[in-house]
Amino acid sequence: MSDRLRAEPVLPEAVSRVPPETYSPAHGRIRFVQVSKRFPDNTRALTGVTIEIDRGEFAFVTGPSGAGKTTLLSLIYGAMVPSSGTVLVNGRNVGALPQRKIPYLRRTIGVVFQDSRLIRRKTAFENVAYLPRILGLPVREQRQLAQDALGRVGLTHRMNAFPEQLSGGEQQRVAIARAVVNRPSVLLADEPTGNLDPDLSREIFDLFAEVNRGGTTVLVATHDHSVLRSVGGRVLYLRDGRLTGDSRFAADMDPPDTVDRGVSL
Amino acid sequence: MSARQALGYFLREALLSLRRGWKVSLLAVLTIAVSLFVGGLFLLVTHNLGEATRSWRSEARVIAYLDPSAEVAQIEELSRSVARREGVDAVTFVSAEEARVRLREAFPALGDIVDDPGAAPLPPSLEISTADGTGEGALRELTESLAGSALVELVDDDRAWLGRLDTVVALARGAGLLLGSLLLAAAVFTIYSVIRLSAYLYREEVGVMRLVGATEAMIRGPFYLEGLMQGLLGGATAIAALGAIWLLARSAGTGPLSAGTMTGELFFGRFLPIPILVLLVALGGLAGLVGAGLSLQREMAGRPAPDGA
Repeated sequence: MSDRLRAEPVLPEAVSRVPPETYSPAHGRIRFVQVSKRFPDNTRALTGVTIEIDRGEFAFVTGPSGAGKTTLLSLIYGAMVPSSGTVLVNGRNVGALPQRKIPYLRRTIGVVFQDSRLIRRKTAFENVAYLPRILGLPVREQRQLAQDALGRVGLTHRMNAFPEQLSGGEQQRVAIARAVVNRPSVLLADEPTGNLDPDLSREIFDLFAEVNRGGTTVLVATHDHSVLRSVGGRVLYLRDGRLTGDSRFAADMDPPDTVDRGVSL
Repeated sequence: MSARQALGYFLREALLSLRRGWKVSLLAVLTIAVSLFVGGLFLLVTHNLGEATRSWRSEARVIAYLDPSAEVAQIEELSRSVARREGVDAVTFVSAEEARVRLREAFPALGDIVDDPGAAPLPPSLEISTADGTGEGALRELTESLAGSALVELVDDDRAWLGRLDTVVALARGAGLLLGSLLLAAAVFTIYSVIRLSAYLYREEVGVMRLVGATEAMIRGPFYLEGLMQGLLGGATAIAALGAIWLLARSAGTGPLSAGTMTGELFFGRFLPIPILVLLVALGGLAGLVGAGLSLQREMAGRPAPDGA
């Protein structure tokens, strides 16, 4: 699959739709500066987290359940605001963005969840074409973008199927096609292979790697040890809402420091 | 996205939703239709009664029935005196003979009785037309003055019973508007429930839309349009039902409400004028919009919550 994916063209039309300001040096960059998040019931989800992820980087965030991985991702795409500290995405202070501007931030960020979150009453094609459609692109361009994105995940032949007619792996690939259809500057994935077997997981990560090679910053939250070992890259360790490690390692190597930092992978 | 594209998108999504949940949509449409039909029926009847009252008012007169023994000179003096009063347009003397002829023409079947030499003669009278817009005070003074005259036996003022009819029409109109408003409130609540149910059923879908960057306008627009369409359809259905009832009443042959009979003309003489029909449909649309707005306000507030920490 990787060879076929590499042969797919990038999407110049989509790039042309990206607002010019997102081509600034901050495009695709994520910065957390002393970020804390406390919920109304006083539970601390994150405490004093400082991270910098460069444009085009491929990084994992890992840690046990409840470590704050989902909260960290949610702060990036504006589903939550930090209790203190600053979250910068593409150079924009996400926490300070007014609610009405959040949709425009999200159009530059692709998000993939464990449960794919496809619109049930829409076909695979319609799910992927939804963002180009609400952007008001011409119908022909919407179709072209959606077909290209589905082609990149190898599902052109399933474009007319509804989510319930697709396997779990296919649904997740459609979700990835939807996330990358507008060629986002950042791709976030929250436990994207949690429901998939190892072979399918590998396929999904090959797709992420392919997207990353196109210049998109990729941040994946996972606690799957085998995934980390097979892909390699930068790993951010979270435990009880605190950043306890930040390491890089090569594929097929054991991620370093996992035992020392008490992270159960 | 241009306004035209957005409207096209809203329309497609709203039609899809109406088709998908046609049973609940039908319920909302019928609820609005019933409420507007009831309100519209009251408006139809009171509109016709109001028209009749206006027509009668323009022909209304004050009639002073005179003492049959009054001298011609006395009557002429009284007539001149009345004609000089404020608001009086014309004063016409109707002799006993003229009154008899009129009665025979109006009720030919009573000809024998009218012509019976033994029957009591009809009294002579003065018919007094007043100018449009004459104040109640001037009219009261006129009737009181006439009643106080030794030549006048009885004063008959059409405006007295027309005033009472006006009160009845206003009460009926008020009752209709009240009942229609109550039913319309019920219709708003129905649409509120229907749209809220839709929003609840598709809340995950709405979450996905927000996730990929749809603005609130893009998410809410189809729901608003759905409510508006339900309301407009309800209004149109109500008008169709009113039209059917009106035609049915007028074509009912010898029925009491059929065309040509006094009661038929009184209650169903004319159909509602176009501005009122437009108002009824607009009210339906407004009810739909308000219902949709209230439900969305409740069902779609805030940023989407993630699954966990």
